[in-house]
Amino acid sequence: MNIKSKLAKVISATGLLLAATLASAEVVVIVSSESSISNASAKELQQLFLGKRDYVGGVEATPIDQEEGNDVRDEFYTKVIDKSPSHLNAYWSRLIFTGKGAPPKQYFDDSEVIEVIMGDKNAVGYIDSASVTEGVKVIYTAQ
Amino acid sequence: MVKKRASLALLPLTLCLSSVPVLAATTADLEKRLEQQEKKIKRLENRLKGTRSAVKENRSRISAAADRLKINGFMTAGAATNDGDELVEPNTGIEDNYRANSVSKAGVQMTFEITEDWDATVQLLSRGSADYKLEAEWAYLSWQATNDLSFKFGRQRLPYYMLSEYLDVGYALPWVVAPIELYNIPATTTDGIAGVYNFRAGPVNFAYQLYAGQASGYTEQLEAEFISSPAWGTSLTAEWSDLTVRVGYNRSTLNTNPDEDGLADSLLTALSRAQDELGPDYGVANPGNLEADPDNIKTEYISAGFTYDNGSLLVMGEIANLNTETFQPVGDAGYLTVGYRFGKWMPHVTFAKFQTDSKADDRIRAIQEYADAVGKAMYGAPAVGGLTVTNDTINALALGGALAGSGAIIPSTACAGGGCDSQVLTLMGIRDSVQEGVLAYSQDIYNAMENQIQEQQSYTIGLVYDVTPRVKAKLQATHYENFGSNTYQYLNVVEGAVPTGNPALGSLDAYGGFTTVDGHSNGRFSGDPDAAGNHTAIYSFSIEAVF
Repeated sequence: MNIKSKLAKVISATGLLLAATLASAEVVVIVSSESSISNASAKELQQLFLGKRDYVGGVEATPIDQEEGNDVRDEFYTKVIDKSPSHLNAYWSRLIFTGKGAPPKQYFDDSEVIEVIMGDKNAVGYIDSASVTEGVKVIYTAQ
Repeated sequence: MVKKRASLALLPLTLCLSSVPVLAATTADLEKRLEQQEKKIKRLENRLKGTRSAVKENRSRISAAADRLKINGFMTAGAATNDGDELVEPNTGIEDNYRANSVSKAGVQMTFEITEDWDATVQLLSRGSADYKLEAEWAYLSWQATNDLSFKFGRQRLPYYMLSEYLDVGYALPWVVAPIELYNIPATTTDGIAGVYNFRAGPVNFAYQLYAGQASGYTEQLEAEFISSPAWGTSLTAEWSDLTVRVGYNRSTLNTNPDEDGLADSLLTALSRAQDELGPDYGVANPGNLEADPDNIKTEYISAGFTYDNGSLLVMGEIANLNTETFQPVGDAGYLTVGYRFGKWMPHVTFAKFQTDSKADDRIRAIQEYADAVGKAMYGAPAVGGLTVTNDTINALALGGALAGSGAIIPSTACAGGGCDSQVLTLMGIRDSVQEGVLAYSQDIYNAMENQIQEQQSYTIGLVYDVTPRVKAKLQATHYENFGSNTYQYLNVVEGAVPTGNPALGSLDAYGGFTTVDGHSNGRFSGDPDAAGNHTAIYSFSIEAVF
């Protein structure tokens, strides 16, 4: 095996690693770039996504959720909302089965969330930071 | 077969050969063809775009309809047993061998959005403890009047205590069997109207709830059907970060329809007997306060509870007081639960207690003392003379039959002045019948009162495991004890013999909120109460899902 091929292997491995790092990039919370919300606190997002308030920073807001099983969803709920998936389900089941509330509507993936957000200036959603495109603005970045 | 395959293998070659003439074409020809192909591709691309947008449109139309209908459900599959041979938990039917139907249940809920502000919801529940009969626990129209004010019209769960509204959603609770000291109310639903008003003060979210309606059910503990009308109540819930605090007040007017010879029936019979004039005949004063009507019974449920859950630590507790104007086991109950999540595991412990109100206890003891005194007076009555039996007594004891059987007729002269002489009765051969009758009467009163005084405490250890984010497995063991030391009387009269001494007083180590296995005709004592012991345990396990 010559040096060239070794080098090529190292480079491709680094590339893979980099790609993997990008894939598990941080979660960001986004709104339409036309929204008057410029930033949000974790507390505000908790209240919004748990159905306790329907505004962020005094502006009317509709939470946009992602489908269960999406990595970005688990990350968002554990890091930002501070609830594990089973804890979250127990929370919502108490509200659903007593007619006191319903969880936010779920969308298929980042691109669907972006699509909804661009069409609704009240919508607040979360996506992988790598998916951020023009037309949306980031109001919170998960630590 | 082999031949066919061979010819198939030749196919690509044939195709290649047939395209050979293309090679012979001119460059101009080729360009023309390329152009045509490009056009074709464009057309196909356009068609694909059209299809794609049609699919998208369709999908959004489907999701618009699907969005308006929400279907959710919950399920518990498990089993429970009780290690007390003689005891049954009356609400779930947990007995001395593992039975799945005591804890298993399934529920499904459908909500349809009629308009933006109006929803229709039905939640059907099938409980193993009710032979899996399907019942509507919720069936209501809800109206979102404003952002913060909503109303529900129709059937709803009774919000007596903190967990009452979702007590059957096992996934949302740490236990397989919730503390029976508190959660043993036989009615779960009310038909009526409810309003919820949400408001905020700083970081605290409040919800104020008010309902009024009608409820009905059947109480195993008293063996009676009942209708609560009106039933109303109010509660205030405050939520601040991980802490939720709730206070509630409920009031209802009960009309009962006791089963014949059931517990409530024997209780009412005993009370009306105690009210008659038998006592004074033997020099024992009626204790008063004996009014007991099966109708218009005012009941009050007052409770205060809290839940603290920060994702790791779970602490919840509740205290409640049940009060009624008439007899039934009323008193104070409470529990405290602490659990801690270690990843997917959550071990938890609970302490719970119930005891009847001491004021109610005093009243019951007074009636028992009265019954006991009447029995003893009867017992100690001299064989000759001193025993006065009025015609009222004979009627009260239903001794008409005994008299008819003896063929004796009380001569009006012998019973002149409102009383019959003992000697006369002896001569008539019915003295023993009268004596037995009075004894039985006193015992009936005594024993029917006994189960009105209850006490119980329990210790629970449990374990919850998150199988998936929507499925949990649970294990639980609860030890119940301190049932108190109740007593009962029994008749020990040999036919035909004249009894002497005191009526026998048996001890019963009671049974808290449990009932005896052999049913409870004749009060609760048809089983072998002594064998019941003063403690028991319930072991249970389940798999819970929510979807």
